[in-house]
Amino acid sequence: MDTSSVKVTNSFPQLSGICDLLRKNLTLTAGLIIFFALLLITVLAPVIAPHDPAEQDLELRFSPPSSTYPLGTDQFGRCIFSRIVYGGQISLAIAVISTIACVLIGVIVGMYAGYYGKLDAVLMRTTDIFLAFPSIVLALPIIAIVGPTPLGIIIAITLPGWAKFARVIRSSTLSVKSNGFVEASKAAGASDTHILFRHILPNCYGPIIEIATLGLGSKIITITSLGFLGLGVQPPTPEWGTMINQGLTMLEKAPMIAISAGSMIVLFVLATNLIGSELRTILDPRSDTIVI
Amino acid sequence: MIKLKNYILLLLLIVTAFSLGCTGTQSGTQSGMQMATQQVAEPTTLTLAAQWEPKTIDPHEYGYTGHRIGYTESLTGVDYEGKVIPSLATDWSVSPDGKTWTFNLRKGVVFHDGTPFTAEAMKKSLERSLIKSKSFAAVPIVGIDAADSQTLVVRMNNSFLLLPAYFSKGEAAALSSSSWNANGTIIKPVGTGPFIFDSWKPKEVVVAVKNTKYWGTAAHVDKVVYRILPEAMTRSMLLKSGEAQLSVILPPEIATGYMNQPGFTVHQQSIPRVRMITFNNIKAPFNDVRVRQAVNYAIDRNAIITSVLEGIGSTGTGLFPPDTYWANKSITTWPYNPEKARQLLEEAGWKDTNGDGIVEKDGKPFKVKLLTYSERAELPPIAEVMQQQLKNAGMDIEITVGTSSATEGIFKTGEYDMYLVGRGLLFTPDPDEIMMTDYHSSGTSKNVYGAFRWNNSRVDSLIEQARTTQDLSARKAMYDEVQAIVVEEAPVAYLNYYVNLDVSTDKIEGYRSHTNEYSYHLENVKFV
Amino acid sequence: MQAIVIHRILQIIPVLIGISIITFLLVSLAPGDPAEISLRAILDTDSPSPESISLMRAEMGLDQPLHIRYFIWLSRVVQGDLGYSYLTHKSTVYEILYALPTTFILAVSAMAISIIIGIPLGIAAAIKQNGILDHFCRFFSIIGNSTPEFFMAIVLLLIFSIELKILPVAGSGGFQYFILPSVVLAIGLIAITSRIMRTSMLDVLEENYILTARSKGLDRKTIISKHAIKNAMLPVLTYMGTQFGWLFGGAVIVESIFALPGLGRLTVDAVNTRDIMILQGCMITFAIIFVVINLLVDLSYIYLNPAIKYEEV
Repeated sequence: MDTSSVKVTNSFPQLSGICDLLRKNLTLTAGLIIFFALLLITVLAPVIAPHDPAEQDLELRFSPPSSTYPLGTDQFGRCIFSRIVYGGQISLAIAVISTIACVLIGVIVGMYAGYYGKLDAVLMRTTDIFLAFPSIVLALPIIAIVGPTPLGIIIAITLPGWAKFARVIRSSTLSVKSNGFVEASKAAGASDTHILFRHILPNCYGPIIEIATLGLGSKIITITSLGFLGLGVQPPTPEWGTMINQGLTMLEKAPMIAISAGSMIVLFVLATNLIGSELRTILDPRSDTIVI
Repeated sequence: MIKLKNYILLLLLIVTAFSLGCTGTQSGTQSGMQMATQQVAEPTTLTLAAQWEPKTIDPHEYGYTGHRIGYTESLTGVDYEGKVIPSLATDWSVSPDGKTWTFNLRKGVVFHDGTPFTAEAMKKSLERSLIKSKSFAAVPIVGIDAADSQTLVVRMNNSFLLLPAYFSKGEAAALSSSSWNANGTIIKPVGTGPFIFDSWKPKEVVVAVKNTKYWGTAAHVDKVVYRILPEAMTRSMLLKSGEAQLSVILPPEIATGYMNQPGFTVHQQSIPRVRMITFNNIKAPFNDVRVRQAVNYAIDRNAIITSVLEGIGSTGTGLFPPDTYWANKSITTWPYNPEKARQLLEEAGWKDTNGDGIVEKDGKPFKVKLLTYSERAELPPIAEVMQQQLKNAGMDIEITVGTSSATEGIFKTGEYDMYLVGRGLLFTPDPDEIMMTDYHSSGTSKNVYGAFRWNNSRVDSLIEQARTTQDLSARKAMYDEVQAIVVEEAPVAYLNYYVNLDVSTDKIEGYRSHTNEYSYHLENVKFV
Repeated sequence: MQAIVIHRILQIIPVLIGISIITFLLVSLAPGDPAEISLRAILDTDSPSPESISLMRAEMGLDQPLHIRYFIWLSRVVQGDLGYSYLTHKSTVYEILYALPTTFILAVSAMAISIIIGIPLGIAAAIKQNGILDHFCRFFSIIGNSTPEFFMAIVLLLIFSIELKILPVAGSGGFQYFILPSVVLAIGLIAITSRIMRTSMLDVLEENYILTARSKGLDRKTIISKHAIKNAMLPVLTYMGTQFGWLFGGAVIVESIFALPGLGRLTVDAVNTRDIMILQGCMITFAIIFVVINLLVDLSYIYLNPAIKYEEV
């Protein structure tokens, strides 16, 4: 029994309708604006950040916000604003890469499981195995083995994460398959690969984008939680979770560290949740926000 | 449908029971809290927060907790300046050959179970300790005898002058034989101290209650709750919320925040503990003395103190802090000189050939791994400052921060280049132990902090000689020479010495930080 | 129905085997020699002799190929031998049984809180669809879902423990110690619960029998309280059952912040100290709890809905 699977209809709107949709759906628009604004800020970090995030100026420790240091400085006299902006780079890069990895594995496993009945039972039991571990419980030992490097964290997040994607894509595949036109294509002599990638995959784009957006948010939470536990990206590389962890000890002297890092995380996850839940409502008006 | 109804009813029942239980306990605690504040004459409970977690409650295996809280005592004690003083033994003497020690025991002392403290009981306790504890491996004890009920004789294999210092340790605590069962396994520690051990919840709390029959001055508070909280942030929050009256060892950036706050007292106490880097002396690049010296020149020790330690601490010279008896006072701090560092690196074959600011040798950039741990909260930030300083001299270091046990695990595998540690120097209040474990080749060949895998025959012979020398100033001269050699050869780099910062609320008075955290002397603490 | 139940129970066997393989692989890949680590605990020494290590390696089967080692390891695990912690020298089973009640209390309280708050909230939102409460509910669920637990925990700590001083900061000395941690853990779940309850209510309200009841002239209040809520609860409770295992995972973060000595903190400590015997024990425990709870949820679902055809989703 999997309650987190999604009912799928194939009503993902065409590009031409998107502008119209945005004008009508303000929640989605708000989510997209926040999402792309944050993305832009982090991508353009070298342009936006007034300082090198690692540059220390011990004369200027714990200075209050000013025009040169918009959010003040930390215990080493580093620019908090620059560290926040750069901090997003590493957090978001890890989240995006591991989400893409999850989608790829999920698409392959899910489509094959849904399409070829034979593999279905085996693949679904495999997802059961990975779903049995709370993702952080699986992530912790992987980090212990690979080390708290960006690559280690990507592996630690992807390995427990792909199974949910596989399940969603499998159920989409099943519903597309039951549509009848797959049978028709088969009768017309189309190969399995052709059907999988030309017919089934395009029909799964909607659910894929939806779960990928929601997944992006939950991955940011896991990444920053690892950072908070001291098992994330190691200093001096700025990372939001690690920054909160360190900022808490300096809450009185430089409250902006923990507050701004925390706000960035909440904002980003909020944006992904807004987009994800609205997409779900559009794709299947009867379902409601169930974050996977 | 009936079954479904039952199911829901049951669930609702659980929910209701739960919410009732919830409100019930809540109101209970609130009134309890009010009572504690209104009536001071009621039993007083002192709560302190500390990071040290006993892995076992057996004082003969891990003795610190018992001595710090005060439910155990040993034959000798250590005063606030670090000298050995009488405790359960009133005085002691040694035979001219240094092989036989005689301890006269304090009269009228009883264990917490009511049994008298006698030489026979101490003999039993020490004999168990010698088996259980790893602290006495270096002590050449042949036998222990009870000459009479108040006289304990300890026979040694060879002259050993440090016995009173070793006997001050928590692992040498006097325990009644009711503390352990027939297999020798601890039941609960039954000692002689001003507090009686009550309970232990691993990873959480040790509770002790007042010993009304204590031989010395009885304690003021009725109960001590020692809370184990590894996170400094949590210990600080406990002070602010009023749950604890004392938080031991807070990092400077937190402790200095209390300095101008009414209602709190910050206790500063310099301690025999040095922050230092242990080099991996058998692995490139630090198997080359010039590279180790280069690191010493590249570190700006003053900047570390002002930036990370809020100005609290003094720059490292030799092994011991300059204001202690055992320090070699003629040693001066390595000057900060990045040019000199680059020059030494170049002599060792490291040169920046591609202009990226990092030196290379045989085409490989200088990239080393520095380990440190988070229990000593200031170590990771010191590592970050050093990272920047060493980068200015062309050295690239990668920092790995873990818990002390985790980094110790990595350290033991030798998969590291630099290990930034806070090293306690006088666990035994005499230099012998630290010299043996950290600088004598018999110690450095094992996995202990200190001069990892480094050895020097002159240092070895000096340390051995000092062990059998009775004259104090002659011993000091030997240790002075050892310290000078170690600084020059630089198998380690001393950064600075510790100052403990404890914070208490104004609800209590009488607390004083002890120089080596030997005891918190909570019997002197009372509520205002 | 019996066949379905048996089928469902048999289904967990391959999952359990898979869990054991993953745990075994991760533990054998972990740095450190298990033989040396075990010897340190057994012989009570920091540096066991190389001879004793090689003997121990042979005895533990570490000189065997990986798949043989797996079967040796599995036979030990099945007999309940999960090794010893090299730090505390206690058996892994002891450490886990010591930690489990704390996590269990935490998860049960969080579950209780989310039922008490989430379900009425969902019902209210459904009754007045697109009303103020419905919008509040939606807003709350999105915020609740967007805030990482550790951040929520810090904010609540600062408010309730430092400013108002009504709840303790950390530890597990009594019921009041569990209030903040379980609230933090519950917030995400409340958000989801209320949304599902709302959807489920709306679904039920459109069912034929409700429409029939309405056409018969039964008043709205009676319909909702007598029929709709009862039937709408089922999917919610089922869903919450599956979330119980998820709560155990959330405990990892929450226990670390509030210094609760539960399974989550044991896991984090084991990772930090490389105490691999404890780590493997924790992983297996987490996974088994999850599998068993899911099994119970599914079985109760089958039991409560004998009519539905059991389908593998």
